[in-house]
Amino acid sequence: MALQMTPQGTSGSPFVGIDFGSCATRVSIAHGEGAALLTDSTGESAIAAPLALSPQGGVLAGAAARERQLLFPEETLLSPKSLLCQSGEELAADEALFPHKISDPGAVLQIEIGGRTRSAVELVALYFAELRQRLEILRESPASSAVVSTPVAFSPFDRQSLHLAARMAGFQRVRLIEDPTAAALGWMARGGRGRVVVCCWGGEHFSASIVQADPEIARVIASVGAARVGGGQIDRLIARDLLERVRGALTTDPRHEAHLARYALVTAEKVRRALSQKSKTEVQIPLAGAAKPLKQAYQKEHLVGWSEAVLGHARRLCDLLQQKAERRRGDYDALILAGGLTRMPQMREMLEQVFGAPVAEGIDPEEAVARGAVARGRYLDRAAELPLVLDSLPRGYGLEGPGGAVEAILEAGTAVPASKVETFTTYLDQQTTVGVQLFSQVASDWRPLAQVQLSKATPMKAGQPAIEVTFTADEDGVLSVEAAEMMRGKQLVAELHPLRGLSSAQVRATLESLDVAADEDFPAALRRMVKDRAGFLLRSVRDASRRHAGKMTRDEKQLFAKKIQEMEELIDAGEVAEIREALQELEAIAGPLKSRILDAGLQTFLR
Amino acid sequence: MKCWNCQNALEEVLVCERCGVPQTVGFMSPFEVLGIPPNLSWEEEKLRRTYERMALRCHPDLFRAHNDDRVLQAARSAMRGLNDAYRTLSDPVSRLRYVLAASGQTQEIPRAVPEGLQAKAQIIGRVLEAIEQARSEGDAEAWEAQQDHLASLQVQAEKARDRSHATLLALMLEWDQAVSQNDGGWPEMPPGWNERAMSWLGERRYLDVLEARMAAGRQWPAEAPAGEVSGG
Repeated sequence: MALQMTPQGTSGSPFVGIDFGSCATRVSIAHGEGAALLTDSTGESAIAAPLALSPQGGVLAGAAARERQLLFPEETLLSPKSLLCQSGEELAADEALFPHKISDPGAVLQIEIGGRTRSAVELVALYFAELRQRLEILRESPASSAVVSTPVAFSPFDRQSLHLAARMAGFQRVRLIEDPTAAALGWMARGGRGRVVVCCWGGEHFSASIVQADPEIARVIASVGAARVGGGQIDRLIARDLLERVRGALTTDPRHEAHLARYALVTAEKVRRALSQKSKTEVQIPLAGAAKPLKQAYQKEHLVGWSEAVLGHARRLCDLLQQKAERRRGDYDALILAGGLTRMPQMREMLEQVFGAPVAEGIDPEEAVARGAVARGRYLDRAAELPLVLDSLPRGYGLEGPGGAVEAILEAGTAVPASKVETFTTYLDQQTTVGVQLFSQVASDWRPLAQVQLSKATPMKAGQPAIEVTFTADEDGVLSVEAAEMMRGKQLVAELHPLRGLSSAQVRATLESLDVAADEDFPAALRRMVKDRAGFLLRSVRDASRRHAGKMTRDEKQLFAKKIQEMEELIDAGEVAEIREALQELEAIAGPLKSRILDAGLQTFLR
Repeated sequence: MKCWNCQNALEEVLVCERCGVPQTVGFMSPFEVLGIPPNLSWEEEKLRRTYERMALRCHPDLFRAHNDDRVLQAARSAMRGLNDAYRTLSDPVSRLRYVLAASGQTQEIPRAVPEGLQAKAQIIGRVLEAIEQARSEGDAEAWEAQQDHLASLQVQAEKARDRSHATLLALMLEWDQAVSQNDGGWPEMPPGWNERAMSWLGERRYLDVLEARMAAGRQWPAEAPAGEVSGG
């Protein structure tokens, strides 16, 4: 007999798909048989990655944050996502390109931004919360379920952080999907079948998988991935080159170091994009205090040079992928390309050459992951019957044995959810705690990942206790651990302390704090959100039109006064839809003024 | 066993055939989980189809829409049980290892030189050591000088691998006959089977290591894939 499916309560809102990117994020919503992408007021589906936090408490994400980044680089995080998978050391090595003070480079990265110290997880949660609000205001219905994309390279603990950030942002049901798996699902939704190799190559990550796509089941056979192998890495090289030239040409004001660096990064991205299409390009850096702007011409050969390391790294990952799957060039029915970097001819040619498969047609590389994420969402909502995705672990995990050698407990390619039981004992009399190092397999190396800490064991003679430790990888690839004494069945306290990420105790505490958060009824919450946003915009527009009256025409002043008054009245008594419309209108008319103010602000360090 | 949700007496292990709700997997053999007799010779395709058919009934993704944490947790347990069982059974050597372990044979089995290679064991050791030394010292000439020896040893190793495979098939057949004599139930161990299976496993471990060393020995270090891949 079939099971009754009754989605109920607020947690039952349909899943949305979030392609969480380092440069831009895309949100997809199930729409009829297919998917629609959330767009901003300009119709653009890419929601820019930057997150701006002002000392006054304002939070902006997307285009609004990106616009401010040149003026307030220290307050504007270029990419919240890249905080989750990079160490404090790596970020600090970016120097002025990462202009935020790292107050704790430890397991849970903490940075100072907008006058406060916040953890990487909190910052990602703020970004997700902004996306969720947009969805709810747009659709006037709760958005409490999300399928969020993850790069393959995210460790089990990075994935845990990602999951938790989405929970903190108010998504109550969260499921992750690896980028290549999502792109494969999007392809399957269009009828694609067979053995397929999928490469996702974006701002910071390269992820690739081999997927067996059968009508009912998609099986992830093998996957590989690494961070700092994307467009951002190339941009940082170009930006460093630009900065060196600027510093060589003129003395710069040290107070404008962060501004200059961000300007170089933004310019670098333009250079990369231009040289992907044409053979040469020229950029200008108009610095205040300099007699004339610094002009710099670049040729395609420059880009080839900057891309070399990234290209070579990705190429080695492709070889490793085929080795893991025991497959060779030509073994595939199709090659799926997703992510902005796959548009670069040099990158695309390499992938085609390595895999020897025809590139799947009709796939928009920028939207493929978002569309696939919502395809999984439809399956989770039981709105689509097929296909079920069987995910697998991208990497193997192992424990340090008695002789110091690492022994695998869960191998790469293991289908998840999975578990493995290992037996431990003590080597000291009356020992009540046991610690063991957990490793992850990177290519042929074992690298330390976390410390497993068992405590509250019954004191006994050395070697007597038999402690059964169960390692579990859930369907999202997140690891957890449980332990019990075999004879007495007594549960031990088992904790994971990752080198990067949250400990078991921190995860528990965060989840508990979410559970006690009071459930607000949706119409009231929606009203509050719309009013807050309208209020925030109103304040900044009022303030700007007062302080920058000189930059406005008379007509503009009149229009602003009228719209401000309308908004003031609506905020108190208007319907949600009315306020939302007024909000969009006010945003639209405020746009040109905002640009003028920002441009004027930039004059302080640019010419 | 009864279904925790509808109290129906269960025939299947992973999913209640009446209410469709997945069941928590307790202490159970992987054969029981997959609902198949404890045979050792299985067609790979057939096992995979059995596994996938069951995955389509108990994967947690099928139960998200319920918003019932108990159902979701049970589905996770069922799917974990299914994945763990399939992982054990999908490879013939790991199946054999499971059968030995379930019969109480849990200690590590030491490597043993297969019978056909015993006379050659010393030469094999010398050639491989010479090659490994040449590789580590970067002595291309010494390495080259050993390649003919290596090639002839390779032939011997392949023959040993073939014999090993034939022995495995015989062991599996013998076990399967005992299973069918017991109407598909867990059988009495055929006389001497345990010892033969163990010595087979010991020899297989020797062959695996030997082949890995030979494969490495055939490559001059410079030809090995260059560069460390960070992030895999």
